[in-house]
Amino acid sequence: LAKIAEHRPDLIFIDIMMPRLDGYQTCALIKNNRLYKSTPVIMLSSKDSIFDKARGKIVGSEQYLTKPFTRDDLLGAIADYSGK
Amino acid sequence: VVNSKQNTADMAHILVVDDSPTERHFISKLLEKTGHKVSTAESGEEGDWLIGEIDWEDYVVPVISFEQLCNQTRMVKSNHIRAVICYVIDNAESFPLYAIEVQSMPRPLILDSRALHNHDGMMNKYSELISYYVKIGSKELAIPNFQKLEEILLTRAS
Repeated sequence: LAKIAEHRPDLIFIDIMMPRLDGYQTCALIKNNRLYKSTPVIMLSSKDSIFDKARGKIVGSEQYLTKPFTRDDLLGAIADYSGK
Repeated sequence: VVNSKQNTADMAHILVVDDSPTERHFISKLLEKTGHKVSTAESGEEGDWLIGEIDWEDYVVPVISFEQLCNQTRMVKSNHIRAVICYVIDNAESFPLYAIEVQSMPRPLILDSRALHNHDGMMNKYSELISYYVKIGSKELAIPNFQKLEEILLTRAS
């Protein structure tokens, strides 16, 4: 949250597989915060199951990109959700 | 191909959170090449000393974990967090109040200034966050440097 407060990003890409606080938990922290919940979050993962994608939706992410993603996937997500 | 004349107002500021330095680098470079501004974090825990906010009277009060700010493990003993609400010394308009998480019931203590000391053995980059140490019974406690805390919060809030 401090990083978001510091940088005020238009959009956040979060990897799901991280030690301790994973991407789902990180996304939930952002989406449960009144100040930052409107910031779009795109989950990045090599997991491709429906369950994983659904979990991404449940924690409030806007989109779920499966690795390997392309340059166009990333730029498309930015265009779709950052409004830029 | 990116149009070099693309308006910078069209460019987004992106935060990339990934524990893999290779992936962080790859994504950052790719986005920067297309003109976007990129910031990175190694984990969701980075900078997680700002642990939430409290609606109190007409204010949104940021809550900080002093342990996490000093890069120490936050000891969460229960789901019931107590927080001490502090007035900002410099009377900042952007946030006049902030709160520090505490793990036990706060109680006032009268301290003799002779009991205060610097802890030479713990000098590190977080030392500036601590004004003094004081020994209470068998425990050595840290007294936060509130001015420094406020500077950090104001930097983040500006």
